[in-house]
Amino acid sequence: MLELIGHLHPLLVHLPIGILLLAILFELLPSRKRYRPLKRSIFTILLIGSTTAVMSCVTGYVLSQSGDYESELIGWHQWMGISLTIYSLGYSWIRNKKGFKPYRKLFSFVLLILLMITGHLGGSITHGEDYLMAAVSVKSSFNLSNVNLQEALYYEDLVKPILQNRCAGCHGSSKQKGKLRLDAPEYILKGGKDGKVLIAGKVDDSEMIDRLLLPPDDEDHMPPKEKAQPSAKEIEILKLWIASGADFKKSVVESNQVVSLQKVMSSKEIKLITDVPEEDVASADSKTINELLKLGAVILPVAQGSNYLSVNLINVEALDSAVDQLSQLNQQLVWLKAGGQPMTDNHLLKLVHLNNITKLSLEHTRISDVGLSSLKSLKNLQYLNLNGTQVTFRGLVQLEGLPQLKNIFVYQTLINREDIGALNKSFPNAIIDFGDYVVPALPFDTIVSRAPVSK
Amino acid sequence: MTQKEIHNQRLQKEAEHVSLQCYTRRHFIKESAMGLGSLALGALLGSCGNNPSPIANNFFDATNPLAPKPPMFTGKAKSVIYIHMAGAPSQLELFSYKPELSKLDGLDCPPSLLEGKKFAFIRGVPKMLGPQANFRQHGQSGLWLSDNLPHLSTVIDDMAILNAVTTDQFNHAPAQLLMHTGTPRLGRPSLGSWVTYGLGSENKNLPGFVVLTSGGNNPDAGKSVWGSGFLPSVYQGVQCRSEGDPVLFIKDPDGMNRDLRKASIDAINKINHEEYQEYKDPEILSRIAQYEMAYKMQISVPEVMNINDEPLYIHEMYGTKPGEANFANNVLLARKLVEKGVRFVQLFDWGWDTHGDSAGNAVDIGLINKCRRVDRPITALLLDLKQRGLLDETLVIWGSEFGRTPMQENREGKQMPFKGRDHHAAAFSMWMAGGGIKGGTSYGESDEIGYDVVSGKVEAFDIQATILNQLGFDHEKFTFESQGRPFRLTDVAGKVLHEIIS
Repeated sequence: MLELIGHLHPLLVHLPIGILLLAILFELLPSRKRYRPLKRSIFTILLIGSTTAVMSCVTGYVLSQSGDYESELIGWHQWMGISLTIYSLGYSWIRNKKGFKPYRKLFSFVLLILLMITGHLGGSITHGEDYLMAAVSVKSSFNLSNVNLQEALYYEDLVKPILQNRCAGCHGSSKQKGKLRLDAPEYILKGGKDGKVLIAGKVDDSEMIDRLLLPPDDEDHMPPKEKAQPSAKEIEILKLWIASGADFKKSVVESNQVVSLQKVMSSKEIKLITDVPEEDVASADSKTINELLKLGAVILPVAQGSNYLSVNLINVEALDSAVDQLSQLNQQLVWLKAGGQPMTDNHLLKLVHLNNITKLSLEHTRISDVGLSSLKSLKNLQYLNLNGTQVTFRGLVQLEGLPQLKNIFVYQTLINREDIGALNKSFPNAIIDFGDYVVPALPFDTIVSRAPVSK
Repeated sequence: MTQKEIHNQRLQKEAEHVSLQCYTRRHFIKESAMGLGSLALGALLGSCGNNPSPIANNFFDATNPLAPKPPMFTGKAKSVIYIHMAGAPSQLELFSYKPELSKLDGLDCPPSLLEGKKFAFIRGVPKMLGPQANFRQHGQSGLWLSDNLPHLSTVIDDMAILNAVTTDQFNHAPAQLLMHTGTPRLGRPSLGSWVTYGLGSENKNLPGFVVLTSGGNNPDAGKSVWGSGFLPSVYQGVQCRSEGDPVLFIKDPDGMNRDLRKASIDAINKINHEEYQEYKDPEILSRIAQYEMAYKMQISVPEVMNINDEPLYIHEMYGTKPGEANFANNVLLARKLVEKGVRFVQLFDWGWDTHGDSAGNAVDIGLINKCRRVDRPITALLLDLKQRGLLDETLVIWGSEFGRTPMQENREGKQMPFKGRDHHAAAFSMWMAGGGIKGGTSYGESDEIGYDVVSGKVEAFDIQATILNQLGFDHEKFTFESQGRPFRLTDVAGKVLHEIIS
């Protein structure tokens, strides 16, 4: 029951904030005739506001006793809250006294200041001290790969930054969820409500690692699903540290972990290159979309709610008009399938400005080297299918320098397999697929009628 | 609510009650159809208002139920080829390398493995049966594969093998239903229906979900494994054949030419339209759309189902024999269909039920022959999709309803004439390739004799969740409202196998 009362605090605090603000606002209004009815209500509003402030104080005190919060901030917040309550009560009492009228605005202004300070302190306790300014302040980037392993201290330079960034928001100086703090060695060793969080040398028995590795949907998974998650690399570092004895003083060299850490640190973080741009885009002109639909094109957002479009011309008969319409989608079009259509170099010329295209299928079209040169401007192109077209080596190398190109399909084109070396030089990051795979005939392909003699 | 409003409401209820009493049953049925129809229409119009863009809608459009729709998020895969070996091939002779089991060959099965277990045919104490194939590591990934699949070993670096798949059904039909519809009982929509319902079909002349069977029989669970359950019936799989007419009953009968056919369909549709005007039942619009689709399919399906036009080297690659109803032809057709924008192609090959009751059902004879019939075409499919630039957006799944026991089958306690294995639900193998799957990986492990799962357990729901995920659907949010509650393919289970996703 007591716990419930405490938990009402975050709900109740918004009442005095809102109600008292209203009183302040009314008080600060110029004294014109039209505002007179509002002015008359100020006393009542103040009284209600003060009452809710008293309730907030009581629930807040109960909450602070729960033990989840034990910081300096609490003390300040508590005393500011109490002063605010007394002040507002006194103010509503004194307000209608004779001779007080000229000071009303001043008093309400002081109330405003008190309200802001108390509110801010409260917010800092729940959301963290740097929450408000986090959006504007430049955060020191958290980058473990700059750590020099030969000189680094294991806890100080590697483990601490991870815990600070991923855990200390809720298990730190301002909040101690589950009575656990992970911001200093003595607290880490002490553990939390459910006991110790790590057992030196025993990764599998360490609660911390267990929680990190649980599936994100699990109730006990840490950090909670909606919070920023540590990378696989960071978890690996924590595991190695615990395995090596979880020492808070030793350097990496002393712990004999340089080699294994190097392995972890050098493993590339999986960076997703997506085939849809991350930034948002304005929705395409619905006239263009309707026109394309009428022409039979399959035109779809790449996902529900996305303004990026994929287009498949599979059902299109009037290709000229369809390509004309496509050129209007210069920001939105990301995937285009025109395979099997009588696309020519002139059609490609109209695609020059579609520079968000990442996947382009032109297999079995009538394009040639000339047309390929118009694709030079498609800086985001990742996938290019030229199977069964008349393009040659010369045509393809014109696209040298397209930075994102990953897959090029040149099966049944005029490009010779011998040019693979030169092409690999032109497109160092791309896989060039010449196709022509065969499944060789094997002696095993015949049908057996008896069990083979076992060896 | 004021006193007056309450009063008015009461009056209205009373009036409704009186008027309802005048209704005959016929009235009721007629009116309720209209009511439901307008309800559905209201839902349709409601969503129209919220989405001004002509293409952003993702609701069921009765006039064009197969219209392409966007997925929930950008998926890697655009289409699926699901190859199901009906009858359950032995994982112990194909993907699951168990050297320990050969040491136990011929010994009595220890009682610890039999206690409290139920088998389809094994009775009493069976003998253990060692792997009847040689295994080798292949490719850069070094995954184990038996010599029964020599061609497939060359593309193993494109495959992700699941070696700890498990199910709770040890009879073919319910196990197949579980794999494809998410429940061992009849009545739920199949995976392909869900996918077509969610994504529609890109090619307006072809169905979105095509089923091809080979091996002489349909799967034991019958056509329900590609049924549409409570989804609108337009989403059920269309069974096509590689021999004779591709779709039964679609050819015009003698004396009926195409113009006459068109005229008759137009006439039927006109009547249906009038019916729709009266009842506003969206299923009528579905029916109209289906007639029109069937008319278009009369031309487009024979065209796409004709593999004679494929060049010789493709036939050699797949090992196809045009005109026959065989697995290789079906695999080549699957590639052609996917290339033409069909969303989901489901292949069933029957005859993998290696009990050891005949040579054809022996794990050391019949199984090898079955493997030789599928090894080349499946390998060719992966290579062909790759060279066409389609492998990345086509998810290929190979699997079955369950696996086979590490014990030799002893039906009715007697020795069988050939080496065979009984149905085994606890641990078997499947694999996936393409469509954003991480090639050259293996996930999950069974114990030393392939009897039980040790780690990386995978259930049918997990596979379904992964397939939906690759297509851009969150299996927990992709639902259909039926009988008063939203249904999911994975019901209340399923986790996406992130370990095999690249």
